[in-house]
Amino acid sequence: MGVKEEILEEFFKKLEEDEEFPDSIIEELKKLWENEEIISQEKIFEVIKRGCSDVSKD
Amino acid sequence: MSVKIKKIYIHAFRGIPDLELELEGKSLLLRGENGTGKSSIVDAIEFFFTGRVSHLEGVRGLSLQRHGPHVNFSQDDVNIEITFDPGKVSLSRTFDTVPSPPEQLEKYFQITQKGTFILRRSQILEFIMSQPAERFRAIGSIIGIESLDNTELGIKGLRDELKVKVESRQRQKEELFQDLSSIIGETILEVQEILPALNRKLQEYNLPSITSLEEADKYTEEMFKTLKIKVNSSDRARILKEISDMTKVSFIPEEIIDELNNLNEKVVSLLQDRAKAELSLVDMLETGKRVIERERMDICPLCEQKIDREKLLARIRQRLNTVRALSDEASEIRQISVSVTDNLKVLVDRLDSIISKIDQFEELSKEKEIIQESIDFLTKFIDKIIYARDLKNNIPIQEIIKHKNEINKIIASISTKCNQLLESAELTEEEKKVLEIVRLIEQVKQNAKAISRINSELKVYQKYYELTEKIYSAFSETKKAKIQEIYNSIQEDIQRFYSILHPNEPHRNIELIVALGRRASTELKIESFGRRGEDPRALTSEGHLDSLGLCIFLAFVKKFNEGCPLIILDDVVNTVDANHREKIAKLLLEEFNENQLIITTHDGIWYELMLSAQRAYDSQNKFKNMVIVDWNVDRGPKIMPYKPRWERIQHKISSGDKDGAGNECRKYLEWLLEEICEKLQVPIVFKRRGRYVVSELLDPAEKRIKKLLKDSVLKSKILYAFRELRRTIIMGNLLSHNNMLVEEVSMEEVKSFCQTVHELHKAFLCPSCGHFIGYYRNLKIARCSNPRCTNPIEVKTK
Repeated sequence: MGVKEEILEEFFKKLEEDEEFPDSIIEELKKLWENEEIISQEKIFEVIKRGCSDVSKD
Repeated sequence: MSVKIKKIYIHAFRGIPDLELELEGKSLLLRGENGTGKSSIVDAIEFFFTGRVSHLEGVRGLSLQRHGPHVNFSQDDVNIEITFDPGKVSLSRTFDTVPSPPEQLEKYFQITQKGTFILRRSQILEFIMSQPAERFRAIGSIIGIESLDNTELGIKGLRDELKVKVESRQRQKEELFQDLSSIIGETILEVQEILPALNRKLQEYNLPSITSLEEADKYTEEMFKTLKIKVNSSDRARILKEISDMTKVSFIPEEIIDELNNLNEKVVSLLQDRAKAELSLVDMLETGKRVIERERMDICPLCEQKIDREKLLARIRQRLNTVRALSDEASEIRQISVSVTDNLKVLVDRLDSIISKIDQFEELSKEKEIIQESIDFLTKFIDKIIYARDLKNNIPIQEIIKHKNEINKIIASISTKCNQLLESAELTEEEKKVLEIVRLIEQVKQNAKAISRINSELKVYQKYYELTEKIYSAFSETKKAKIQEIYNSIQEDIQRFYSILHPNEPHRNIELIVALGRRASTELKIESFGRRGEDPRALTSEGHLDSLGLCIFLAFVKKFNEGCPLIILDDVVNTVDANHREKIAKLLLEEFNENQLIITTHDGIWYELMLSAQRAYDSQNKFKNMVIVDWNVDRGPKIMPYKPRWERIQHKISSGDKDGAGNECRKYLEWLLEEICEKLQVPIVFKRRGRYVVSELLDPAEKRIKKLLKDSVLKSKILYAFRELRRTIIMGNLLSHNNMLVEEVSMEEVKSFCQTVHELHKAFLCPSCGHFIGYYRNLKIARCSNPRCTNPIEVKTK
């Protein structure tokens, strides 16, 4: 595993440990990183907005 | 078996029209004067693997397209072909095609395509002299986390923007509560305090309470009915009063101008520095991206070369991200611009609101037109701020100052006319009182509504901000911790390499530290003369800094380029003295013996030191030692295998070059006598500058042998060689000076002189391994100086 992958793994682990952090955002962020090298500010914002609306629907 | 370069073929690139270099999987040690094409070879290798030549990038007037091809050729002619072992795989790169490595070379190419296997003199300083952020970028590219860095910058940008939005809503909420407090006449801090406070106010007018703000309209309607006032006429007066009240506050307050000035100063400052060159690329990159995305083209519209669309788009996106978020200053500018544009949007809303109210007053039609123009101006001005935020231009502050006066003038005119119209409405005192109460209730209702809207926005943005902050903190902390972990893991190697180069020197504890409190920054510290945590630039020489940069580079390469043994060092030892250059040779041969090194230099001493190191570490068969003997633009570099001095002399003799052979042999003799004096500790007259001629060394050297060595075959052989040399040395004197008698000297006599020098040299070499004999005073012996010699010659001394 490269340094980049190690950082991402540890980063997601930290978010997952936070019980208040929405799982849907973590999953969407993971998908973003699977598909793209660099994640833009706009895409991250979209993920957060969607994640918040999912939480409020629930 | 590790991947090695077997052959390099370069055509029409930089200073090379045509060149084939057979490396046979070995390292290359290449010497050549400046401007003879050494770096062209390095450029060609970099271009082959990365498609770039890094030192042609980011400098105005330089470009790969223009300066990559050889001056006599075009881009179409450029071809770099490299053959790899194992498998004898040949791949080539042109301006149109990229090499497609087979599976066994994939890992090798993953590393080489980052370009982190090359160290040039200009790059060595990136590790030492650069700012912590630039150092981080240089290291980040070796570690392979550049893309993470760009993403982190994006998350930070989002967090900062959300923070501004939250703060701006908090401010607006506070202002609305202040307005409410001033309307009702008592301090209100919470939504639930509004209704009780309003009812207390109504009580003052002996009016009944209202149960909720939603029924305020019904309540005011009832009031009009009770007081028998026509709603229409009172409406007109009420609206006029509202407009009049709206005109009492300044429309473009000084604070906004101050904020704009502050923003503009930052924009101008950033536009003036190096960022401008980079940032001006944004437009071009965006246009290029749009064109390639829209047209789905596979041919570049500018140069009509084939392109790999997806790769190019990915690269443009990456570049855009980097350029857009160039620095923390750019980030600060983005934050301020959000606040300023938000404030101006509020002004536009207020002007819109005035227009909607004055619409029904024919008397204010002229003012309406001017207000509409001001709205258009402010909308365009907001666009200009966004334009400046992206560092495309500065903010035309004078325009808004001019408009500020015009807007204030027209607002004053509206105020005056409204008051005149109000007076003509001829309301009674009772009607005025009712209007006052109605206005109060409506203002309270509107403020409460606005507070409610702001509250829900605040709640949403607060949530977004908290989540983004959590993402940013987790990302940033993890990245910093991991990078520090990497730094800690290579610190030992850096220290070890540095100690090999600088043993017994007062510099230790070299530390790479992820700078706390900064997003992407690396500090370099060293303990010098007992002072820990010093900046190495403060206490060490330029040569030390260069060798420290080299150690850092090598430590990173060792850790991160696993699977790629290629390391290129392009003229990197310029400022290092001879003693330390010898140590660098030792470091390379000891620690990187299994790598494929490509070392270029113009420095003859460093070259000789590398040759000696190869002999000392039995690595001659791992190196191709070459020399660039000549270069011209049409033929390019003429590269010959390195020849030892004796071979060069023989070559000159056989080609009839009497002067050349004599001069070379004279230098050979000077060097040989210096070696003898040093190795056998010959007492000679001290000279401050240490430059000796043959006659000053020859007698002491011969005397030393006579006195030092006990009778032996070796002693007889050496003394015989000295006698033979004395017989012919006159030839050396004649040939090495501008002597009229030189024409009288025959080639046979020159040959004889050269031969005697060579025989003397051979007499001092170990017959087993060819190393020089040295004197070991404590052991009272003279023996082969190679500690690895399996059958060393050894004789007793007196």
